[in-house]
Amino acid sequence: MIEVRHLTKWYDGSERLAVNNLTFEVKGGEILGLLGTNGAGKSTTMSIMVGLLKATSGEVFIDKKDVTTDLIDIKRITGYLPEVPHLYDRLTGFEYLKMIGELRGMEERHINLKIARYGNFLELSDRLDSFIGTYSKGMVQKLAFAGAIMHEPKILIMDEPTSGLDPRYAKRIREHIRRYRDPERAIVLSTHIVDIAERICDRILIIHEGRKMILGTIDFILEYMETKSLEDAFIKLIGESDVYETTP
Amino acid sequence: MRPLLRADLGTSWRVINSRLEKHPFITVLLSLIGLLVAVVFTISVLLVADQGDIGLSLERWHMVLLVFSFFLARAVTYTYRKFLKAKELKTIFTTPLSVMEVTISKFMVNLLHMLSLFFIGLVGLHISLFFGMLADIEQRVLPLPLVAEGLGLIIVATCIGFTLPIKLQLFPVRRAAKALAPEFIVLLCLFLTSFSVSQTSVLPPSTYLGTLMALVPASLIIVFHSKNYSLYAWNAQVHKSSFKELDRDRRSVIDVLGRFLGKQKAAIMKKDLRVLLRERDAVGTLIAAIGLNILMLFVFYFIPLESETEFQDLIYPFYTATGLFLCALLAGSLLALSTVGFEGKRLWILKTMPIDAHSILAAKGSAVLYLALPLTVSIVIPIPLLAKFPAEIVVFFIIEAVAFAIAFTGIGIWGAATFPNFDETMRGMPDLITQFGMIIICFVVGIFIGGIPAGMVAIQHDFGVVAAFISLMISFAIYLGCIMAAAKRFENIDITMFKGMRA
Repeated sequence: MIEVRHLTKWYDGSERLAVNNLTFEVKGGEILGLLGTNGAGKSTTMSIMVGLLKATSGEVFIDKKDVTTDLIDIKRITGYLPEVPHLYDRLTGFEYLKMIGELRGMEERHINLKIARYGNFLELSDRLDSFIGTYSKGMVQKLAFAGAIMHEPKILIMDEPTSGLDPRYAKRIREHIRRYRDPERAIVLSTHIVDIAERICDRILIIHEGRKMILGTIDFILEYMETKSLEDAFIKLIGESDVYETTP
Repeated sequence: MRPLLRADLGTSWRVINSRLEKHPFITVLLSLIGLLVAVVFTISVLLVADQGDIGLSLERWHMVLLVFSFFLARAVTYTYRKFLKAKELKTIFTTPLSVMEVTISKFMVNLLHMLSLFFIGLVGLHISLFFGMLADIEQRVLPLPLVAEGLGLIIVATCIGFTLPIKLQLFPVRRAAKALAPEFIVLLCLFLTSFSVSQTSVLPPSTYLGTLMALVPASLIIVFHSKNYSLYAWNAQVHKSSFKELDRDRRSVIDVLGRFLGKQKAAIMKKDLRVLLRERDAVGTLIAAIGLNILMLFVFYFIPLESETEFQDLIYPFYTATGLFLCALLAGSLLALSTVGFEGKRLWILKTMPIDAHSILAAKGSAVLYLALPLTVSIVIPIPLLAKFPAEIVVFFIIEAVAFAIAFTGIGIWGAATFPNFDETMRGMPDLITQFGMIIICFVVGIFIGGIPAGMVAIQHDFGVVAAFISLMISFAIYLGCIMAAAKRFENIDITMFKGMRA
């Protein structure tokens, strides 16, 4: 359902490529985890997939449609959650979700139903009539998650979906993502936390400095890297020095 | 408190320096224009004070009102930008500095800024006086009471301009009104004394200066007292902590307005209107437009505009046209100019929705038009009716008001997408130079869609109305053209611009 071919992104003024000749695909019913350190190119890849950024070269096809020419059609079937979801402080949670539903072309009755459902599920119902500016970081994350998924997209792209959430809600959202998996849907999520990738994803793509290091199921990666845990495989792949350099 | 003052003043100085480095010519040009305006302003005060009349029946208390309004508006803007919207105060409020110290230091910076404006004007004026450039005035140095009057007026205006936005954040409105009572009393004392001295012989002229001097410490006490509200007000702006429970099933006027657009466009239009109203950008424009209307009526009633030349009949039409231009500029162009920039880091929402750039900008244009149209039309109705213009001229002005609002909104939207400013502290407004450029563009377009029909209506009323209709069609074409051009620009805005960082 998602096909990324030789994707390259270079930012003006940057010394290196943010994404370097990245190729992968995501099939229906699959959850692909992009795993990498901070600045590895995960968010850039996702931003290109949802049309927030233009690629320097390479192609992205979603549901057999080209992201450069059929972007509106692609957006119609896509849900996106950025790493830091900045929302409108002066809208209430209800108004925000209603706006998203209307922009997605949902029926009013359907919108209200979904708002009620996600409000209960994420325990936001009591605060939906308050301005988003009064929400905590975790509440904003939950609201943005509801906005990304409320129209039941075929393609769900999430950048660090559990960032800022306490363990209880992080678990709830992880489980919901697992349940959302369907042969007609494809999910891509990025994380720099190995544990999250291990728990949710069917396949893992490890990226380092914009390059694909390895792509496969967890078992495949462990076998290929001859390690006992994904964490060890990850460290072995990106080089221990890179990890230890950041440790005091 | 000193480090805070030093940081604020240092930042202001660096902003001036960076502007000078980036656009030296335009910055110097704008500064010279500003200096010229300040000098002309002070000269008017001086002439009125010296001779009581400069040919426009302006009296001393009119000038008091004008000078006071100018500095009050400046102080209010400054307080909003440098205090209430200042996110960097998050760090300051966690230091051992008390809220009072932070409030007073912010006030001091505001006051220093106002005083520097006053002294620049004063120096410019003295240079003019020294070289004898003002033929009507023989003295070489301003009389001390006049300088003291100006100084007192600016201090009072800055004090009120500082506390006004702070107390307006209070919720509910009843609480804000109660807190603002001292400010109302000061304003009442100031203008009643000024009016009584000018218009009646009940009070001797020295009473006014005496009252003003007494109001200076009173205003400073009000500033000191405002420390009780400043943390609340800052929180209300930065953390949006003041809110009310909203009835989600209620159909508001905004929802009704949305019915005229498609579902997706309506969603964006409703969002924009809500954000504009709640962030008080639109409320500010509304107040400015109402203020302009009141000022125009005030001048109409109290300061008869007269000329002994053959152009006497054109004075009020020209006066109305000036009001129309200013209001359309304010409510149409300048409000629209911030509509892309104020999305800031939230632009990812619109960018990932299945809606094309043209529809997004058309929706944003509609949101501004819903505000600009009634405001602009309301400016051109009272004066033509009161001045008893022929019916054709009234119709002409109404059509032109619609044309100006549409064309200027279009230009504003184009400017917003072409020069987006995602700096959160600027609330989406492009820099001063871009704003200046937009005003020039609007002026040129205004001459085209307003000047030519005005020439025709002066010759033959009916032809003028027809010409106004044609102008309306042209302005609609300008609007559509601007939206299309803006859409192309909007498509090219990517995450690196609005996120302020690389993904």
